[in-house]
Amino acid sequence: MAVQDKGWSAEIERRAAVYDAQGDGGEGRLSAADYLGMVALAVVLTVVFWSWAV
Amino acid sequence: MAQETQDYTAAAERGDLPLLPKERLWGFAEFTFANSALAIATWAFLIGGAVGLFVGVKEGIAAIVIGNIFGVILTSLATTVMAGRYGTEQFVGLRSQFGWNGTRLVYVLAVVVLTMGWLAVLAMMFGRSIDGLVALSSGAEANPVGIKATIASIGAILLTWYIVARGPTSIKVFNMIVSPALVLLMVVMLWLILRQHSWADLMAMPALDPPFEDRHLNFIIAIEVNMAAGFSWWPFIGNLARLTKNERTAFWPNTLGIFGAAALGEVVGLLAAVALGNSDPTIWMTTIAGVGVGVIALAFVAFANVTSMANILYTSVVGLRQVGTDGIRNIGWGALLFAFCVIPLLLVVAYPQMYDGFIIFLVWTSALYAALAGIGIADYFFLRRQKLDLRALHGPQQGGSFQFLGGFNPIALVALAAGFFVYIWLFNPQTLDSHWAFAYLTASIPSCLLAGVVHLVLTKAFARGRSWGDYPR
Repeated sequence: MAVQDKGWSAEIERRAAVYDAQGDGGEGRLSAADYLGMVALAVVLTVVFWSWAV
Repeated sequence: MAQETQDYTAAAERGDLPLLPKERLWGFAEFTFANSALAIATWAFLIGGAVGLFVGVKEGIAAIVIGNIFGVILTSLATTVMAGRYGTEQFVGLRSQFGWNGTRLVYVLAVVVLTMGWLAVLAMMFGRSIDGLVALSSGAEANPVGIKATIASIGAILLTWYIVARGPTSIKVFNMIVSPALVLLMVVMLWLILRQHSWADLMAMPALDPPFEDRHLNFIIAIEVNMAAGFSWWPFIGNLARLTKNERTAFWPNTLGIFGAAALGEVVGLLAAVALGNSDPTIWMTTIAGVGVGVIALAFVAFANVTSMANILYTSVVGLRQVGTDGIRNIGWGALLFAFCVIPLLLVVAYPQMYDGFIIFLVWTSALYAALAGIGIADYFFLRRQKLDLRALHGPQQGGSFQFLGGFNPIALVALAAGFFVYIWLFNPQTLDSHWAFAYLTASIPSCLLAGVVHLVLTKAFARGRSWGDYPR
């Protein structure tokens, strides 16, 4: 772990650069709609099942 | 050159390097199927049956849905989004939160202990299934804590060790048979239950053994048990999600696969337990449909348990080699697997009561996972603003960005302790004693929230400099 050869370091650099190049874009990023969807899903399921059961 | 590229791809698959988008295998459907296969396991019957102890069927179904959706969403946010964006191995990514040595500590607390506990519980379930099967076919009385069950439990652990020692291919073969067959078993169980009881009768059935007179408190405990089930995916789903093509594919299939499949299995376990009057699947399966179907079902459950055990043992030991010291990496694969099995072997021999109290063990683990999820969300989304330094994560750790204090991030560890202690202050899993606020807040949600806030505030206040996490300012 402490000692890494040059080839290995270059490979880390190459892979990190791929993600650097993507920046904040990139396909399939979660958007505000996704996060709202998560909240809505949790809230709706809770309200519906709580009201049904209790 | 081609060989070198192949070696790096293999290293990325093992988790030593981040996977590139083109190296990732799974789209939405593949990941949904894979995590459904993980979630459809015999522990779903156990958890569903245990829910039936606290509440009746209607409240139980609601508790399963509510508890699992919160647990699964929070756990997925903390682990899968990061893995889906960067393709990092979960415990390599965790270095950014806990430091490289802190990650080892978290691994031991959160993965080794959980896996050893589940190995023991599932082995006991195997032993009880075999004991029940022999009793059913011979007409004798079953003895779940007798010598036959114990020997079968030991055999289950040794068989699991043998399968996993042979490598992942043998596990894959088991998975391909067991997952679809478990779905079929659940459908058959559901059909058998509905043949004997109307839907209206089932919905009106009361809890088997409610611990308190206060129905609302029992309902919240049932929700808490299911949140624990949802949070208990924390050690596993990050490393599955890194095989997906992007963030969205890494996140949403969990709400279909893990949540949907686990909830289905738990509902079947709940219905069977309440309808047949016993929360233990190895007992209700013997009474559900006579000798023939009972023997087949028990044999299959025993077989399915070994598959679940093989999956968690393999995942945990692969991770252990990833976070372990050079000494651990140098131990042979078979020997390391066996060393991992020693404590579960001792538990099945010396502490068979653990099976009946497994729900206590499950809820204890949630005190840890809820806090870990809170820290993960605070760190990745709010402190790092969804940006990870892959060079620092995969490069030399000594003196790097995740050095913190001797490789431990004390801030994250304080946050973890805060989340853990607020959990047991609100709800003691051992005694089921609770603070009045538990009935309104649960314990997992405040634990998750507090751990996240403590990590956020203390990091903003004290973590400065490159070797203290290199947080953006």
